Formats: sequence, structure tokens, C-alpha cells
Amino acid sequence: MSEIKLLFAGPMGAGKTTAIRAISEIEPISTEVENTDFSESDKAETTVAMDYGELTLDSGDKLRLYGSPGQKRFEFMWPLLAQGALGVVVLLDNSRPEPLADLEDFLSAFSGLIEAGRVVVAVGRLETHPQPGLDDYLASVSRRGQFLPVIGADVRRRDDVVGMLELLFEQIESTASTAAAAVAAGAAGDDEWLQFVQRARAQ
Amino acid sequence: MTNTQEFAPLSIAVALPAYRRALVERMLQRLLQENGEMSADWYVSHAAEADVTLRLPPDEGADPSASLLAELRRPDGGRETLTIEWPWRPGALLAALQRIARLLRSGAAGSADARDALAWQWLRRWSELALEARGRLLELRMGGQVVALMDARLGYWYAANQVLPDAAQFVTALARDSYSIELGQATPPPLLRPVSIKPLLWQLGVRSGHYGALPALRQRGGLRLKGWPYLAAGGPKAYAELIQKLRGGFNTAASLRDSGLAAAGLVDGFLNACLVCDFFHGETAEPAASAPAPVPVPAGVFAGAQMRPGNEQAVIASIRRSLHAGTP
Ligand SMILES: Nc1nc2c(ncn2[C@@H]2O[C@H](COP(=O)(O)OP(=O)(O)OP(=O)(O)O)[C@@H](O)[C@H]2O)c(=O)[nH]1
Ligand SMILES: [Mg+2]
Repeated sequence: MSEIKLLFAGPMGAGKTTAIRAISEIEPISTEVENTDFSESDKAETTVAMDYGELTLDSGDKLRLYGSPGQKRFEFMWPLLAQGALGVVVLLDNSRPEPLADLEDFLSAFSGLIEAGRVVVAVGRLETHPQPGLDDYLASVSRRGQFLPVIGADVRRRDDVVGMLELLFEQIESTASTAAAAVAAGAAGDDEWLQFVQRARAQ
Repeated sequence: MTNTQEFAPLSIAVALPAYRRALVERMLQRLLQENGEMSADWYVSHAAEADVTLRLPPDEGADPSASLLAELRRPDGGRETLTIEWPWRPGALLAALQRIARLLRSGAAGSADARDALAWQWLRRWSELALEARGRLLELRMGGQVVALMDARLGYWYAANQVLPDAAQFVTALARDSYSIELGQATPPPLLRPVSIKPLLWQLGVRSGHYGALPALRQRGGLRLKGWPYLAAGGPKAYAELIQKLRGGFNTAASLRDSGLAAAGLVDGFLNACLVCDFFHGETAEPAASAPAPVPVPAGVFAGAQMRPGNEQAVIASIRRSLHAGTP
């Protein structure tokens, strides 16, 4: 069967490696990925470091955990790495100079997955840097006409990492069941909810 | 409490079967005697056309503990109906009278509020019937005509013009024409495209909050959110905090109101909206839904995902087990 993977994205130092370590059964490894697929980028020699961890499921399959490179110059890679992923956790670091600008970068990169209910945002270091608050994050998301969960989390706590995945799964399931209902009822599948949300925001 | 002395007192008439009418009239008289400021506001009338007329709901005639309907005649001639829950408790009746006095005396704002009461009643009926539907559609009649069929389990609205009304238009229409919701046929109408009714339900839920939590909500032990109610986007900021709390563990409507996160009307509106839009765990329109069968899902939902949808539920279940089993 095809690969089962989750992607942890976020700027440098946001906690991607730590989050992967919390649930991986192997010590996360940094893999050098050759940039062969991406004809857009000029050089074949471009390599980037990516975190990798895994968890064996009781089905025998392996859940692959990837951490995307955080540097903004690798922004073009983020959506490519997310391809085929069950979902994406975006980790942000509230102590960085402009965390809301970081957020914008990731919202753009993953817009398709956001619509499909496959992205959650977790903000770290709120304990030392309470501003901007979660409401400010939600407001930024809303302004873009998107909506997704934004939670506070400390990836050093395994429960927080499990919690963000649980949130992601619940979102995937609820989006899927709505869409399944649409199909069962023969609906054309355009998202009335999203339209509604957009109208509500326009007011 | 606002000074109501500048207003003429309001008349209230009791249009109930004789044995119950005597009881309610006695309750009213005593309430007015015991609450000084109320007696300046109200008098019990036997006129056919009072400012407020108490009636039994059409479908609850046999139930001695039934709620009462209060029919309001607004100063501008418009009519509203709202429900008084547990009218046999003096406290509930007193609160209802205070609320009604505010409604009737606050002019334009009052009529907006009274329409919100219609939203509350409508949702109450919806949530009751949703539990009984067992695959049947709900039939919405307005002014005697069937205007829409609704699938409470899947959350669909079928109407001739295939457009979901906006909540404000909808409650205005409810106030203008009498409406009823009954169980109808089981099969969706051919040729009509289903439209998700959740945006409408959400808005009605939010509007209904000033009239308290829906009975279906009060009957639940604990409330915990499943998923993320993204219809809440664009709403007040307190929604984000309510979502956090409701995801964190079990809460009740009362505990959330007491938490001071937001005004009671806002909390109840949010909870009502989550309830009718099926955002709570264990929220099942039908018993079958508590053990969901794998459902086919359109490929579009799995934007970018290579996994076959049928597998995905199993994969998620397996990841969950693995995450909760081992602590590396
Ligand atoms: N105080 C605090 N420290 C945190 C929090 N989240 C992560 N950290 C710490 O931040 C440091 C960086 O975390 P990493 O997991 O290496 O971050 P990364 O995203 O992999 O970083 P790069 O690989 O450089 O992009 C670690 O020492 C974490 O323990 C938080 O919420 N609060
Ligand atoms: Mg790292």
C-alpha cells in the first residue's frame, strides 16, 4: 500500500524535531534529500535536510513522520513534501520576530490541504511570549478566508503532540463524513459551508 | 431593572383548558403580588386580545408538565410566539414575564429579539424530531405549504429553489407565516439538489442563545467537541476560548456559563449551534450513527492524499492505537 505520512512544518527552531522525537520509535534522523523532482529550482545539486521518524502501526504499516526544512528559501518545497500526507501540523514559535508573518507563509503553502481539513497550527513558547495571542492567529486565518484549528502547544510534552494529531484526525474525519454525506445524497460537492464562512466574514 | 413606570401595564390572558387556566391564573396573581415591580408591569386579563396570551403547544396537550406558548402582540401589530419552559415553577414564569416585558417594550430591538425566540423554538423542534427521524425527512411547512424537506441526519435541505435561506430572512418568514415541522417521507425528492443546512442551523443556533440552552443540550451529561466547528469562523473571539475548553474535557452548559468566558447568551448560542450542527461527541441523530459504517468519500476531499479513502479510517484508528499504546 502507499506511504502513510504526516508532515511537521514550521520555521527554524519551532520544534519540528522535538515533536517527531515525541512520537517516533526511532531517534529522528536528518536525511539529505536530493532536489531532483523540482524542475523549477535551478540546481540539481540543491540538497536540504529533512527530519524523519517512524512509528510502526499494529497493522504492520509504518507511519512516516517528516519534518520539512524550516528556512524560508525552501518554501517551494513545503507543499511538495505535503503531497500524499494524511495531514500537516504547522508548528510556530511565538518568540520569533514575526510569528504572524510565519503563519502567512504556511497558510499560503498549504492552502489546498487547509480546505480539505488536513492542517492544524500549533503555537509554541506562549508561556514566555504570550503576544500575539491565539486570537490574533485566528484573526489572521479568518482574514484570508480560511479556517483551521490554532492551538497552543509545547512539543516538549508528548501529550501536546498527541493532542495536536488527535485534533488533526478529528478534523479529517469530520470533513470526510460531511463530504461522504454530500456524495450519498448526490450533491455536487461544492462547499456550502465554506461559502457561508466567507460570506459571514465579508460582513 | 429598567424603570417601567412610564409604560402602561401589559395585559396577559390565559387561554388554557379550564382546570389549568385556574392554576396558571392563580400563579400569575401570586407572582405579581409577591414581586412589587411586576405588579406595575402586568395585569391578568380575560380579554380575547391581550398583549400576551398563554396557550398550550399544539402537540403537548396531554402532558401536564408541558411548556406553554406565549403569543405576543407587539405594539406595531406584529405577532411573535415564544416558549416558556417549566412554567409550573414560579421562577421560570417570572423570568419569562420579565423577558416578555423587555421584548414588548424595546421597540425595534424587541422585535429582533422575539425573532430570535422563534429561532430557538424552531431549533428545539428540529432537535426533537432529529432524534425520532430514523431515516425520514422532516417536512417544513410555512403558511400551510411544504417549503422544504430536511434531512436531519445528513444535514440537508431540499427546496424548490435549491437555495438555503439566510437566517435573518428565515426568522422573518417564520414570524410572518405560521410554520410547522413534521416527519415526512423517507426518500429525498428526485431532481432536487441537496444543500447543506448547517450554515442556517449554525446561525439560528447563535441567535437562539438569548433564550437559553436547547432542552436537548440540557439533557446531555457532558459536552465535548468533536472536530473543530469551523462555522464559528468570523464569530466573536470568545468562540476560540469556548472551543479550547470544550475540546479539553467534558463541560456542561452551566459550567461554561459560570466560567465567565462570555455572556450567557453568547455561550448558549454557541452551544446550541454546535449541537444542531453535530459538533458534539455522542451527538447522534440516530442510534445507527453511533457506530458509523465506513462511508465512501469523494476523491476531492483527499486533496493530494494518495491513500484510498476507505483505508484512511482504518489507518487513523491504527495510528491512534499506536500513539496511545506506547510511550517511547
Ligand atoms: N520553552 C519552550 N521551548 C520549546 C517549545 N517548543 C520547542 N521548544 C524548544 O525549542 C528547541 C528547538 O526545537 P527543535 O525541535 O530542534 O526545532 P526544529 O523545528 O526542529 O528546528 P530546525 O530543525 O532548526 O528547523 C528545542 O530545544 C525545544 O525543546 C516551547 O513551547 N517552549
Ligand atoms: Mg530540526
